[in-house]
Amino acid sequence: MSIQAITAQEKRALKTDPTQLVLLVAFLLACLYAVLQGGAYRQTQVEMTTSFTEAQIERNTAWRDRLVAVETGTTAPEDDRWAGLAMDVSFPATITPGPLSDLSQGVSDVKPAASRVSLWRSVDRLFGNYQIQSPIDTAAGAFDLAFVVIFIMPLMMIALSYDVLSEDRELGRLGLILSQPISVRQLVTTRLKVRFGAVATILLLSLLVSLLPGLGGDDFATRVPFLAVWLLVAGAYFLLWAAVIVWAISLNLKGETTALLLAGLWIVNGLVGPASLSAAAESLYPTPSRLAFLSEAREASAEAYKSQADIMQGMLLDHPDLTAENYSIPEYIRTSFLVTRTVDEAVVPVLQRFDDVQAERRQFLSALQYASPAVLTLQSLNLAAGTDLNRHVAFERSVRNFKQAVAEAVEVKVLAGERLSLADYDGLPRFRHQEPSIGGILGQVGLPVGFLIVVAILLGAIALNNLGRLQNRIRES
Amino acid sequence: MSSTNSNENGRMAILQTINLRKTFGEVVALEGLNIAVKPGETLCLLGANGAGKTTTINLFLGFLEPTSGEALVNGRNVAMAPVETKQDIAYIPEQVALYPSLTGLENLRFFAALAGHDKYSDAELYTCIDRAGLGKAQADRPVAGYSKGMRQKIGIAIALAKQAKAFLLDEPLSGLDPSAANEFAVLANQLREDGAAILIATHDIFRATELASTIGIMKAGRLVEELDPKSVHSIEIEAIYLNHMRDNHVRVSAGEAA
Amino acid sequence: MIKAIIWKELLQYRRDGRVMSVLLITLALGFAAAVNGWSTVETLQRERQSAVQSDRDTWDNQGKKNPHTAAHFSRYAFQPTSNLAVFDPGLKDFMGSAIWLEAHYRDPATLRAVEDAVEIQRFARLTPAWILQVFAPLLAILLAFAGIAAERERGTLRQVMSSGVSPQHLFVGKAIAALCIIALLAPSVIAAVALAANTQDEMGLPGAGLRLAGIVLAYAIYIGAFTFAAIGISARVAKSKTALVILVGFWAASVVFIPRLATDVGSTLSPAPEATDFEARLSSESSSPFWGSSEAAQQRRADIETEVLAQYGVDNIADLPINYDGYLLQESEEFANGVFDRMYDELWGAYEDQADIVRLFSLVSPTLALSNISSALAGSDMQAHRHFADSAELFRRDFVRILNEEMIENGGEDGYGYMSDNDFWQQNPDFDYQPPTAGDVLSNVWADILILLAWAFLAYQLASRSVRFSFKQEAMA
Repeated sequence: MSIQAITAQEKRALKTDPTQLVLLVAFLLACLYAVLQGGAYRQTQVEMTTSFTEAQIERNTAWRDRLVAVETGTTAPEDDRWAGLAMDVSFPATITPGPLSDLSQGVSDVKPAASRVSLWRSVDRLFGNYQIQSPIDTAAGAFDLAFVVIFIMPLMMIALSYDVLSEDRELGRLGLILSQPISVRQLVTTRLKVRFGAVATILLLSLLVSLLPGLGGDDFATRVPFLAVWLLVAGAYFLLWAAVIVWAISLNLKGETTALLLAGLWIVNGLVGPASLSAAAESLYPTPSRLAFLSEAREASAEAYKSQADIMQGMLLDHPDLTAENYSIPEYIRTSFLVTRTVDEAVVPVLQRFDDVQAERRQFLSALQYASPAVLTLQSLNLAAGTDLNRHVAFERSVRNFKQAVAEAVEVKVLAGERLSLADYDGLPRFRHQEPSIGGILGQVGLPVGFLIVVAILLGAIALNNLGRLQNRIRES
Repeated sequence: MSSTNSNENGRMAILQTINLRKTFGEVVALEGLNIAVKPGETLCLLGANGAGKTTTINLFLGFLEPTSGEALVNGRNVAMAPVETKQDIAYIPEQVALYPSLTGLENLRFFAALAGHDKYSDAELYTCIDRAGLGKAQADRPVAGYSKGMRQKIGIAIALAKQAKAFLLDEPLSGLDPSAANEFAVLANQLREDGAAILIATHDIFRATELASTIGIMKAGRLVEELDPKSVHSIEIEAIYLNHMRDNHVRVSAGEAA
Repeated sequence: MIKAIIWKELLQYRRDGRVMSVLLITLALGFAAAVNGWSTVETLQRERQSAVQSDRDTWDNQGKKNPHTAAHFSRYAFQPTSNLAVFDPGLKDFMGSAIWLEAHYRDPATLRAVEDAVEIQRFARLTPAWILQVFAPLLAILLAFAGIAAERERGTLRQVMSSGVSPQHLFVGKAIAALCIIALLAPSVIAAVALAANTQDEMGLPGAGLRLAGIVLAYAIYIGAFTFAAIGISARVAKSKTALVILVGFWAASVVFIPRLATDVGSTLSPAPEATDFEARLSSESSSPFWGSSEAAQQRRADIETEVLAQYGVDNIADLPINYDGYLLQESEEFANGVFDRMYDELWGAYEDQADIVRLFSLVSPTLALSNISSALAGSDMQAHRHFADSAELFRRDFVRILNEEMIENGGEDGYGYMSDNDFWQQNPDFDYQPPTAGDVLSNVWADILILLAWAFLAYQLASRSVRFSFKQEAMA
């Protein structure tokens, strides 16, 4: 009876108390805004990738058609000596927008998403001129649902509940309430169930909205399993905060002190922790100098250009069958290929070094993420959304590997100055990025999520125990 | 009977009101109040809640502006010189409010400095505390652990440090245990003998007879009776008081007559 | 009297464990941030210097090459890092630091540090400016939220009033005391400035002293505004816990939520062009209308030819005393420059509209106004970058023109076969970047300065009125 009375009173309060209502409406608006802008963001991503790929395919089809025309005799070979030029093959390479890039944008806005892989460009130039996004926008980060979950949600939960026990005590009402057949534990948990329930409902509602067709994308079926993982992470984080708040309440401090304590935890979790961790990761594993890399790459290409005669000589030694006379296309094409290849050979190890440092940092952060639930949650949400650093770094690497694979496949034809045959062309590799499986993602977020839940349970148990003892203290006093 | 003539007996009243009236909208809180407390006198105002005792104190403190009439401290109109008049007043409320993280001594130093007395040495402040009846060791502890009586003693020490001529005590005795109340009464009488003018607002008839040189009974914003406790027995005072409380229609007021 | 109030407040702060621990943590973070900023800037400056050197060396020793091939081989303009970036790196990490100065094309700046950053970097960055922007107001709140409310709750307000203290005295005393404590953060700022002075001043930011003074003043106003607001709210509400919740809510909105929301709304209302699209348009619009096979392009080239022939009074290109290929190249540059101006104006225009929208939001978040002023004065904002990029573009045009003129004047009949050598390369001037003056910078942020001043003024009014109001209320009690 009493519990129902409290629940009813709480529900009524949610409707009548303007502060709580204002907070909840603000939270709802923040969630909806995040979902809508995220949907628009992903839509743009999808359109960009699609239109880029389509344009490249169109271009390649035209290129192939010229080759077909030569092979079928529609065009005389001497009329189109550029048709099937091996050096000119190019393929689009794109990373599919993360399945939930609308919910957590992660690094997807700063990392390149598309490349026209061409043998004319060395591997350090595969992604060019994509740095067009406004720096103001890049710096601030997105107002996406991940941000709402990590930052706004806990603050809402704190604001709604820090006073759940102390208010009654400070007004001297607690004794009266507890003289009814209800325990402190029941009083607190019942009230929090209603308040946190409202927060969770709003969050779930906005996740449902994000699934509406035309919002985040039409690939509903692909998105759902990732959404389940995302929800699992967000849910664990929610539980952790719920437990932290109950624990803080169970300390039976003054309302003001509880609020200070919780705000302090929020700040350490969301600001101090991430700032210290990212500074630590970056100073322990410093990125090698990009500028030095740029210089090295240029130096390599200048050297290769200057020593093209030697490179040519080496090639002829490797391929005695290719004499200087048997090609009908300009020399500079062969030179460019060889120069680019020399540059590639010089820069690939350096690029690998950048990747290694990134990997070391990620390893460091996946070990230390347990120190800051915000960091842990962000990394896990990005993983589930397919917008994590790992996936993007892997994409860049696989584009580089792809370029080298294509170069190897056409090398002999380029050096021999021969046209590609249609069969050659159709047999060339096409870009495919190995996407992490949902199982793999679950494996990666399993431990962090488990950690959040275990901590939540432990804290919750301590809190409930505290509340139980509080009962006796209040009765005695 | 007190008089509006403040120079009677050659001594000027420190706390004095002249036809003081205060209304809050429709509600009349004080009506034609005339009192005068001279050095060495203690006026105890008795009355139910809402009789106008605290309003009178607030008017002396300048917290409120009179609707008409004057409240004078040491001959100066409070409404005209709200800051200057406060230098002569020590205000000790029912609950002496102090800063819990500061020691008694530090609280004393702060409030003395607020009143312009910022040149005291530690020894001088300890003397004030000693006169208020608190030990040195206690004075060096944070106020957070003080009892109500100890806080009140710091309140008195502040008054001493301020060298206040007048004391406004609002329900100083409620909530004190009997021995603390007794100690306070001794102290208050000591202050009076030393020449302070003291105004006490209280419910406590018994203590009032012990402390007062004059007892004033207030009702609905008016001073309805002034009694000399030396000539009237406390039991009789109680009877008179209860009679006033019962009788809603009696309009016999010495104040009004004056 | 004010002195007594200040003394009492400081004594209370000294005994308040919460205040002392937040102060110490903030100081420690501030020192860490100063060292972090210094090491970042120092590295950047060192790397840039060696990159500039190696760019020059590579250029000087590229050997025999056609000037136009060299214009494609090209050079880089590297953005210098200002000393004050130790204190506030602003948007530096989110804008490229190297611009390729190739012929026929205007590249965006590449090598954005954010691409090498860890995922959590955009949550929080350990820089002295960030620490002050985030934690100094928090400290102000912690110091002042109870300022008046707790005095009232304890009853000391009445006691203080009975001592003849005026509202203005109490407000001023409390504000000064709180500001004194916040001023204890100064050592970390001084450390940052000292370390900044200890970097290699490669840019020589004009008016560095004035900029520094401006920064100090801006932060002082910002901190003052928060302190006044905290005292004001504390005086206005009934309980100190309510004041705390309101203030922390405002702080979180101002520091964490609104900046993200503002840029998000900004980029939705004024989107920057999509990268692949921008690149495609830039290269096609700058090249096809000149070099293409369309009628207009052919006409354009024919007109140029007629004009040159008339100018030199000859009938035939072969009879020209200059190299016509070089001439045509320079004409194409000048045509393309118009396109670059138009498209980059569009791009910067979009950025600036975004910045204006963000500025509107600074009406509700003083942090936004402050961070604009701070990064502008530190020479690390978007305008600083634009100034650099525009200067680099002007240099590119000069640089390419010198190469084209070499071909025009000395190319003779060889044209694309004409080779220049190291003697010529070594005569080519370097890019000497002149950063904008402090006056230019101030003219960019005057609106932010006004907004920040308005915040401080309103907060002051709120505080002084509210304290008076609280006295009145207390007197009636």
